Amino acid sequence: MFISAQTGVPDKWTSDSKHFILENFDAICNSPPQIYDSALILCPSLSWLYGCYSEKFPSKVKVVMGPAEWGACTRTVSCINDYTATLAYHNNTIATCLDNNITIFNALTGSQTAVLSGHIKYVISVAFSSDGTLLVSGSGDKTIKLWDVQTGGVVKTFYGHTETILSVSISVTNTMIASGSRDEQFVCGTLGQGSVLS
Amino acid sequence: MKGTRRDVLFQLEQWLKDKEDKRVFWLNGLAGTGKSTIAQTFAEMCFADGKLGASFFCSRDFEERSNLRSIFPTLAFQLAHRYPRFRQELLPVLAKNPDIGKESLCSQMEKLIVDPFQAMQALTIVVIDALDECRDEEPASALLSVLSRYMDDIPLVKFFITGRPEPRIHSGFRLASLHPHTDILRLHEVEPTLVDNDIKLYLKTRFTEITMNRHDCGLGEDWPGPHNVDILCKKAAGFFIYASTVVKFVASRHYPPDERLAFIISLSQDTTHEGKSGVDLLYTRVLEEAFHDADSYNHELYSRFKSVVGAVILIFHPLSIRALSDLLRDCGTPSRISSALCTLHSLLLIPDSAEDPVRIFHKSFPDFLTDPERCTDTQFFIDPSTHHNEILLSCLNVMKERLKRNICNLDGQVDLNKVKDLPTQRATYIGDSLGYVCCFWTKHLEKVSSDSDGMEEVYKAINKFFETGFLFWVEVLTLMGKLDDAVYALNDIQRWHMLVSHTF
Repeated sequence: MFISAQTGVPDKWTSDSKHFILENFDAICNSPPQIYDSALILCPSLSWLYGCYSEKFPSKVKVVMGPAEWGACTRTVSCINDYTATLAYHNNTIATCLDNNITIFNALTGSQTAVLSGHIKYVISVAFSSDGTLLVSGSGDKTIKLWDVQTGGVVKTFYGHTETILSVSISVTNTMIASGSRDEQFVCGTLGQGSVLS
Repeated sequence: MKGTRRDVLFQLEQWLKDKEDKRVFWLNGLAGTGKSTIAQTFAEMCFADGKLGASFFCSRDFEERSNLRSIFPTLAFQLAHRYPRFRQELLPVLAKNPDIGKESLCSQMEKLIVDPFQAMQALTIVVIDALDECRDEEPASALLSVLSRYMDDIPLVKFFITGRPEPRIHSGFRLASLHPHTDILRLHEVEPTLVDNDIKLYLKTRFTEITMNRHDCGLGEDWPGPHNVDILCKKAAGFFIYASTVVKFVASRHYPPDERLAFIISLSQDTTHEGKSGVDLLYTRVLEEAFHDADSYNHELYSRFKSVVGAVILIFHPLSIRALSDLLRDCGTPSRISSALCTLHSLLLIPDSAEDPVRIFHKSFPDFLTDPERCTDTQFFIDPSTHHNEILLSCLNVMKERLKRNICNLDGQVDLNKVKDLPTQRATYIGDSLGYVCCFWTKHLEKVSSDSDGMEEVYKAINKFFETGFLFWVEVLTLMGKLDDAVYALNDIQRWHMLVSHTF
């Protein structure tokens, strides 16, 4: 899983610096000397940061054929699970399905901010509401859950599907949820009550 | 203090006995009406009766006491201490969820509070003071929304909460599932004569203490007399903070108490201070008194006052006098800083040791000083933007001078998790002032208004920082375990740059 670079103002200080920290986050956290001994050496040769500091902290090791510019990927976050099923992204918040839990990451730093637990089988699909306050999830436990993103609590659990839920989404107005399931039914429900359409 | 706020405490006792469904009590009061004192007394009362389960006193002055996510773990810890049955339930939860401190408020509430309580079934009171001092970005208090969701699962627990009537807290208590269960007492609407009697009792008791402690001053037994107490009470106009500030002012070790009191009493509502509330007038006069022997043309004295007090009230984390003197290089040694502050001991908590943090007694003081409508004397008024600018430049200067490679003298390719005495190393080589500066300099940058005159100087200093100090700064934040903050700080700078980029 990777968090894509957010390109804001063409400002060499902050964009270079953020790349520098995020790409080397785990290495630096484990051992601060890595700032000078690896992170700096691995900076793209044309970056402002490399130009500014490489001569001040000379190293025996040199990158001969490396990228000249920063790439799109800024931080790689390793997950314990074998695979990451689905992602949802809203305003600097990323929700991922990792087994029975939904894990929320801060997209700016890549740090884990919360774990939403409640489903009793693997979660397959997640989606944010348009304002980012609610999250809907569909799971192998045949339920759909609606979460309050801030507090991490379950607002409501929807029952009705008889098979694993494969996909969920929430309407722009925060009033309707649609879901698709292996039970070959497509369900569209208001947040008050669920009703099968077809 | 014993004997005061009887009416309020009586109402609280009624609420405790009440079998009805009001399980939450909101003590709603404006700044300076005595919320925290009541909360403390009430907590002590409940503790004496064996009913207190746990308490949490929020305070913006302490990182761990202004963090929403420390509330439930703290309460759970105290509850486990108090009830063996609770502890029995809690221990396996902690073993299973070692990172519970980082989890969402809901799961904290559920795992740390609700589940153990459900197994325990005992009547308990939980006190949470000054909810408005917790950092919270939600439109409706996050703590209250969690509470509203789980309250029905723990029907035997009663919550006593105090807080200013801020929009976030108002809307929290208005939540549909919380509202019907909440009793509200508006402290600023309590019958004025009751409050006045309490303030008089408070003043009398404190003045008697002063009389006894300062028997050398020849104060009469009934000093200062009921007439003077009445005058003070009228001036206080219901605000306890007024009375307690007066007492601190009068009790100063360096002056005869009767002279100090006469000074306060003589303050009439004269025309220059027309329209000011009692507290504002008092603050103004205490400041004037602090400078009464200063030549009003002594700009250096006033500007030092502004720099020092400006820093004390604007920094984002309290600092000691020594750290302040590291930060405010132009204001001189710790003893100079001490002397700039010492006349303000009725407004600021100034510790004897230069290593302990200087704190503000009451939030209403910085509110007053930074509001040009309230603090009309320009010699005292502290313009936040100007002073944030000043602090910011000091921060950049401190970093320029002190940041270096391998600041903690760690050996070679060290694994940070294996350094045994990291906190000691941090305290020795980084210390409070550099640590503060590295964590908070961009917060000051954010508060500098983008059209201020010193912008070019700031820009140059930041440029210098990025060209020479950036890597060292990353190193310090890593050593402090706050590399995340570096990313936020860079975002702050990016936002600032967007705001000011048109100027360059």
